[in-house]
Order: sequence, then C-alpha cells, then structure tokens
Amino acid sequence: MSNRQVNTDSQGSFRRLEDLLHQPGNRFCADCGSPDPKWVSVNLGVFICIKCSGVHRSLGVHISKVLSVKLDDWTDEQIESLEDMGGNAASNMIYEAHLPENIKKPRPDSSIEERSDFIRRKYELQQFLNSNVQISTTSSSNSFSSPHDKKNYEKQHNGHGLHFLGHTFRHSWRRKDTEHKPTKKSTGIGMVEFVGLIKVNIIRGTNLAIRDVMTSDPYVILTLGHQSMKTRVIKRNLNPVWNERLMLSIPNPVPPLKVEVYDKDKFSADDRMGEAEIDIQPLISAAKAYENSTITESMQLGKWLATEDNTLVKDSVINLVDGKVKQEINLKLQNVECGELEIELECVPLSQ
Amino acid sequence: MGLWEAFLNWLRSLFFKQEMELSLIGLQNAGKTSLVNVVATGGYSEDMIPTVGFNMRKVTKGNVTIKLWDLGGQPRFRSMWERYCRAVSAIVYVVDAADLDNLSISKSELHDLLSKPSLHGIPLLVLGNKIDKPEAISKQVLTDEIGLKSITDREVCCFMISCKNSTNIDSVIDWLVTHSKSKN
Repeated sequence: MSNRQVNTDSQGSFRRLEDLLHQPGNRFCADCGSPDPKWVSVNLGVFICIKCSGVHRSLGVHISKVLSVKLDDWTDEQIESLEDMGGNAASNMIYEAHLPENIKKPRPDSSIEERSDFIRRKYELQQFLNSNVQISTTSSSNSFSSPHDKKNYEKQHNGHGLHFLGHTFRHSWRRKDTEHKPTKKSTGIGMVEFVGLIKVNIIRGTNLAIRDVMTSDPYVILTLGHQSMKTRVIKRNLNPVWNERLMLSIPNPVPPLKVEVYDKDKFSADDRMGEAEIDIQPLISAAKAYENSTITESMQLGKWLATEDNTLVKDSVINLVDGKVKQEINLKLQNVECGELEIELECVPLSQ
Repeated sequence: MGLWEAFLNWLRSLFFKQEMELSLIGLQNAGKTSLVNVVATGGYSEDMIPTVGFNMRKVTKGNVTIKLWDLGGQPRFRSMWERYCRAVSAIVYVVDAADLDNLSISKSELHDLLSKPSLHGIPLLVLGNKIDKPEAISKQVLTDEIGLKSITDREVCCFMISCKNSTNIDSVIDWLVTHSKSKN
C-alpha cells in the first residue's frame, strides 16, 4: 500500500525492550497485576498497564515518568537504565518491601480510586518501603536529552483536504433485491472524485421496532452520496443477523453514511424502522494517516466518542487489524421507538 | 408576528450556525484529553488514560458545533498529526508547563508541524497547561522556550491554563468561538 521504512537502529533497541517486556516478572502490571502491561515508568523501573499508567501520569513527572513500550521512542540510555533496575520483581521488592496486611493491592478490575490510592501510597508517599529508606525519585538523569529522531519517511500529499461541510445528497436506491454492487446513478452527476472504498458489514439488529402484528421483516438500506445498497430481508425477526457485506465508493467531499431500516411489506409501502447517520470522516482520516505512517502491527488508531447528542451506543473504536483499518459501530436508531444496529466498517483508501 | 420572528430566527441560523474543526496536539501527558473534557462537560478527572491514536468528539457551544480531534501525543502518533490538521480552523497546541525537561522536544515538534505546507496560515493557539503545579513556568518563559515569536506566517495566541482548576478555560472557549466565525 505504501512504503514504510523501518529504522534499523531503533529496531535493535526495540528488541531489547521487547526482551525486557517478556521477562516473567514484567508480564503483569507491577501495580494491579493486569496481564501484558505495555507502559513503563522509566524512573521507577516498572512495567504497568494502561489504567495504572493513567494514575502514574497524574502524579507528575517528578514522581513517575511514563513511556509506552510500543508508542514512544526510547533512547539507549533509557533502556539501559531500565535493564539495570531489574524490572517489576526488583522494584516491587523495594516499593512493596513492607506491604501491611490490611493493604490490598489493586486487581485488574479495580476502580480508578483504589488504584490511585494504592499507587500514591506506594510511590509518592512511599509507605511500604523497607525501614526508613526514602528514595528520591527526581529523575535528574533525564533521559530525554537525545533529540527525538526526525521522521525521515516521505509523506504522500495527495491534495485532498478532506473538507467536510454540509453536503446535500439524495436517496436514489433502486429496489432490486439481488443488487449487491454500488448502484451509481449515471444521470445528472458530473465527475465524481472518489477517495476510496468503504466496506460495510451490517452485522445485526437488536430489539428492532414492531411493524407487523407481532414482529417485522427488516432489511437495511445504505446510502452514501448518490449510491445506495440494501441487505436481504430477514423474515419475522426483531433481532436479525444479516452479516452482510456491502461496498460503496467514497466521494469527495465525504458525505455521511446513511443507514435506514425498513420493514418489508408485500401489499403496501415498506414501513420505516428507524435510521442513523454515520460520520465516516474519522475512519477515512485514520486510514489515510495509517497509510503514511510506520505502524505495522495491529493496534487502535482512534476512537469516536459516544456523547449524549450523537447516535452511538458506546465509543466507536477504529482499529488496525492485519493491515486493515476497521471501525466497529453500535448505533441507536433515530426517529423510532427502539432498535440498535451493529455495523463494522472498513476503509480502503485510494492511493495516488 | 410569531411567524415573522420564526422567519428571522431561521435566517439567523443560516448565517450564524457555525461548524468548525479543531485539532488538539502536543506531547503525551500535556493534558489534551483533560482539556477536551473540561471544555465539553466541565468535568476534570485526575487519571486520564493515554489516548491511543485519536479521540474524535463533537461539542456544541451556542451556535457553534466544534469537531475536536484529540490526538495521541506519543512519538508513534506524531507523524499523523499533520493529516488530522489539514482541514481544521485552528490548531491547539498543549504544553505541560510544569515539565521543563520536555520543553525543547515540545518546541521542535511544534515547529516541525508548522513547517508543513498543507498547514500554512492555520491559526495557532498555544496553551501552557498545569499552572496549578508549583514548578509551572510563566507565560513569558513559555513563549521564549517554545519560540513563539519566530512564528510569523499565521495568527498565534498563547494562554496559561489549568484544566484541573478550570483556570482560563473561558478565554480558550472565547478564542475558539471567535475563530470558528472568521473561517466562514
């Protein structure tokens, strides 16, 4: 897709860091025991989980300086000092030398308050140290002295400034049950510039509205700009599982993806069962940003936050999975009494 | 009369309903996500988990809908900042004013970003956060350390804030609202 150069220098350091990460003592968060911690307090020398890293960061850098194993650039100096400190086992021998019986360590599912209380006592107040040893945690040997390496890879500029303002669009679906390809309306549209493809997997609906006597015969229509597609009808089911993949081209400027659920009726017009609009710009931006980045392993690229005034049931996460940029979405259907829709999107940007 | 007023309101909404996009950037743990939360909900939480990639959130303030791109600050994500800044009305750069060790990196990352041709002329708001901490530096020192004087190709503004104590958050919101209007 795009050329990603890997800095061989940082590759070697990264391996050393990975080795440290895989030491038995470092496979669980030093503070709460969550498996596979990916964050490190550089000056305290402990591997910690993302939740505990939040508490560490709140203490201030004079107490704990948090770096990510995967996301930060490490200097050799930092890695060496981490190796010297001996990891979680060694650090906990110091910071938890005298853990009173009435103090319980937080567990992976502990609340932020429990975590925060314990971590403060452990490192800031140093209540569990051996005898009267006080450890100065001020990180004077500060490790950020070496300049952050310059990004030496070329960025591709493809000129699309993804401007995204109110964009009018029409419904123009054709009601043909067998249709599984974008139906581009050929009349009345001049040149349409496409920025990529979007694959939409309509997974399932839950608790959909009743439109016949006891149930409904739901199907879904997707609309993006001038293109529309629909899923098959699932008869008599308020919790239908479609698992149906549809593909659309993404025009520029990017319109919202409109999702509408209908109840199929034989003798009258189909009834509405709710709708929702999805802003697909975060997905497209993530896909394009990833294209120009050095990231290769699976990871989270971003998140669209659920708020009171949008249609999300929960935060919608955009992930990189096996080189594919995917977004999971749980929608509350609008203009209807009830119903939710589970959808997965994948964006394939068109490289210039 | 009611009808006439409704008509006027409708006309007004056409002209004053603003939509803007903003990108929040800065080194990890500068307080970007906390700022979003304070602006969006007024709430501050001591323990924010690091942002992985970005968080996109829409915030409505009066007639203005702000689409906020809150970008992860780890080096891994910094190469992506430019991509999320291209279409925005303003770039908000958050600096931990109490983390003296990282000021020079913060400076070089900012100037790196602003040198991108695609971002030419986009207004910049620099926020020195965490002034509730005793080690925090002054606005003057921050301005010098980050080299704001040398940025001449765009509008630059700087505030010292504390998300924790909600200090100067009003000024930030005012600045943002003003700059959403100047775009359209």
